[in-house]
Amino acid sequence: QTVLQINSSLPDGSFAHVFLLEYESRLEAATEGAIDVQIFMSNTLGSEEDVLQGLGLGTHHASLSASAIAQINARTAIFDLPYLFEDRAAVQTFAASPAGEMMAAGFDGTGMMLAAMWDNGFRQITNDVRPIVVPADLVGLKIRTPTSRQRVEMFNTLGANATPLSFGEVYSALDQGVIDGQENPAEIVESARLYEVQDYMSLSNHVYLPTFLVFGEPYLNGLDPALRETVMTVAAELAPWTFDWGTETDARVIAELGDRIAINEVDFAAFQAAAAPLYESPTFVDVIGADMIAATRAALGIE
Amino acid sequence: MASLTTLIARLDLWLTRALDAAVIGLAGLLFVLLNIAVVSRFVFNNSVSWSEELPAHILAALTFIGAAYLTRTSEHLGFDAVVRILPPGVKRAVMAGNLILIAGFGVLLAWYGGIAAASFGSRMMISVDLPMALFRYTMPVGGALIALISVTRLAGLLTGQVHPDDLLPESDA
Amino acid sequence: MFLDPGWIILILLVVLLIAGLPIAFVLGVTAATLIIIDPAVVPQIIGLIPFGGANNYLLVAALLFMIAGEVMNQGRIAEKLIAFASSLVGHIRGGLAHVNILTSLFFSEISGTATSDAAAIGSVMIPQMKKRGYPAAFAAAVTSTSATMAIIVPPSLNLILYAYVANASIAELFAAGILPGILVCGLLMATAYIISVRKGYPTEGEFRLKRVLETGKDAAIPLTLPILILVGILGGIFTATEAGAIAAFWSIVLAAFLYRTIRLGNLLDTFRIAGKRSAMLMFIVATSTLLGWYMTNQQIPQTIAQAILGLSDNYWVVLLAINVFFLLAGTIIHGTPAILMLVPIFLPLADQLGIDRVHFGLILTINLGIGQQTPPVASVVLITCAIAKISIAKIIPSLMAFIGAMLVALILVNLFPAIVLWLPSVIL
Ligand code: NA
Ligand code: NA
Repeated sequence: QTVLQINSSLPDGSFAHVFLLEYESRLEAATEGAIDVQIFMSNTLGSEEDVLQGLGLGTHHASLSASAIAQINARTAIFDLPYLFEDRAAVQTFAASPAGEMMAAGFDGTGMMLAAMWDNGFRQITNDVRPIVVPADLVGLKIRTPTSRQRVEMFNTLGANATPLSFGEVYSALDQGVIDGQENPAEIVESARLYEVQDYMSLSNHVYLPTFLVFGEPYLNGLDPALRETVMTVAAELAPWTFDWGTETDARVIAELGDRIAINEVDFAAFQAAAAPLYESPTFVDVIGADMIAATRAALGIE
Repeated sequence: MASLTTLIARLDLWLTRALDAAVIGLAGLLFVLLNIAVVSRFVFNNSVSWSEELPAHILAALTFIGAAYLTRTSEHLGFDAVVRILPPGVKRAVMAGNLILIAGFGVLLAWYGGIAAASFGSRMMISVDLPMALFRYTMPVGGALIALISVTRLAGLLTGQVHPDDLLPESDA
Repeated sequence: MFLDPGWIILILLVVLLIAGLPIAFVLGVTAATLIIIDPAVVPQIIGLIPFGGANNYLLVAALLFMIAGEVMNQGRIAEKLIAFASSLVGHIRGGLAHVNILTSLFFSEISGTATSDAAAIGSVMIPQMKKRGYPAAFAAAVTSTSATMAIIVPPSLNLILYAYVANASIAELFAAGILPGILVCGLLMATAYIISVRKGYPTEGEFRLKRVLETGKDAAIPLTLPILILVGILGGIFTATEAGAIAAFWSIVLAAFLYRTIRLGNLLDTFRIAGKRSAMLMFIVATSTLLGWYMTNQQIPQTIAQAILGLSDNYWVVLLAINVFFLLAGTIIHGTPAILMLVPIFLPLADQLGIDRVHFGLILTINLGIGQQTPPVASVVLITCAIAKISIAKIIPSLMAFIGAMLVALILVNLFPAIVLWLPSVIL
């Protein structure tokens, strides 16, 4: 029996965990037990940096990663461009387009291969000052971001005061008023109980971030060709299911949060316009590549 | 033979001084960087982007360079109650075995650490323009020094120039 | 493999430890041996995982608190705290013993390790106690056991390390350590009082409010440090690492400019000492991460947890077994490797039994605190014996009574989780 160990930095009970469990059952069924899938959540087999490096060295088999993958393949940083994807359909259109193939080709020579892109969700802004409807509402607010130059520049461009902070500090920093708000998928607002220390959640959908299921080439090369084919196909075929599951779960979570925090819609077009300079900014263009941005805009029909 | 011993003693002295300076420097650097991060966050209201990634990498560098230093000074923590009371001949043999194991582990850190560090190529850190390999190579360097120091001391032990009691681990911290 | 990997690990660990191989190498050699003989594991992992273990922002805090503790130690700041404690409890029978214990409580709010506590307070208090007619063994035992409060009361190196391994909140653990620390302080003082009455040890003059105010003024400045640390971390204003930076900086300012007790040469010395101690700690973290990686890869912790639950799944039986195991482990291994090796194995068990992770962390810490007091591996006792100029064998009778008091504290904390969990629930 072949063992497949899949690592993820995301915790038990996250979207990633749900999808990996579904993948495990589908793959073990499809291979009639020829493969034993073992799932390691919360970085229990090494930091994400080490896991991704280990894929090429052959020490790790596979990883389901989110933003950290941009360190390996800069083209995946396309998802850092704000207000690019208006809904999950657009994400799937992108994945099936030449731009999607261009992104997958960015893994060539990195020691790993992209098997599939799964759902992870749109990010929303919460704060305890006022509902965010138009860009002007963000002016002067201290918004926590991850340690990402792109996200910092995005919020600063929109007039906010971006404050990079590790996620573990966010709850107490919000509680103490050291920062006014933060941005994360709605599911995090619920699971990390951020609604206890925040008054408003604005459905900004400013960034869509998928998860990337990547396999190490040494591991794939060691598999029997038929098995390898099944491993990749089952992963790709699971993608639409993850997007449907994500849509339903998002709707349910937002409905549940409605009792605990004031929720509002935003003027998406106004934000898109305010963020336009970022599409020319070297912070984004130099990392992602002008060709990748152009291909994505073409695929999504954005002028 | 005598001149070789003198040469080794001199190299050993310089290596120990260099390791000492590196440990003081890295600890001092962490102290300074963390205070800069605190002042810029709380006084100037402007968080530095490298506040977590860079100190963590420097701590890793301190770990492996410091581990070589502690190998030289026999200050790694250990349980010495049993070896201390062994008869001299047995004690010498056990300490020689320990030095071989330490050297072997140092070689593994150097060899595989070198492979891993090289695999990072010219990749840069996320928050600051420094190559990751700069920090990753401290592990193979530390491992190589650990192996080198242990082999030298093993030679000293076998030729009777190093007393086994000088190689006992530190029994408290 | 011809032998179950779990057994190979256990045998290698015990044999190499007894052979006097340094603990970091015991862990590293054990891990490397299994990784190399197991055909399913790629040996390149040896080059990857130890670095990941050492590359840790949270544990930078440990280095910074070591610098702060060492500066406080070399800068003779304990003397101000002793004078203040003396004005508060010196009038009780066995006055200097109470002063010693209360000063340890103050000092442990600054220092993260019991050894720096014992060195700083012991070097002043033990000679003073001997001069006033206390037996050296009693003086050393009081200093040694009360220094253990350093790892229970925040900031605590053990709790920082536990937070990292158990993925628990430092702020919660720090808040949780305050009441158990005060409990230990109270029980130690009660023990010292009973012994002092029986043996007729002296008091240190009458209680005078004027003296409290005078000495309090002197102690107020060093005591700003624990207040800053506690308010900052518990209030979520800064991270433990930032608090460590502030503590180190502030202690240097006090010692170098206000009291003028340290110079540049001492400062380099403190960086050297803290840098080496931190490297020692972190190299153990690095190699234990490699062993932990292999064990997780083989799903060994879950297997052990299931095996123990197979023997009994009664909450109290398992809790008792865990305590006995930690106490025994604490007699032969130090706090750092104990936390790094034992927590990953016992945490799944604690989770399954529904023991709160913060409660579990404090149970572990008090056990390891008692372990610091029991030979053969008893780092704090060794330091105090050296200062008191007595042998380990001489201190043991005096030590027993105080260890008994700590065992009472341990039992109370086990039986009443509220001692640990109430304060965090109120202030966080
Ligand atoms: Na403390
Ligand atoms: Na002990």
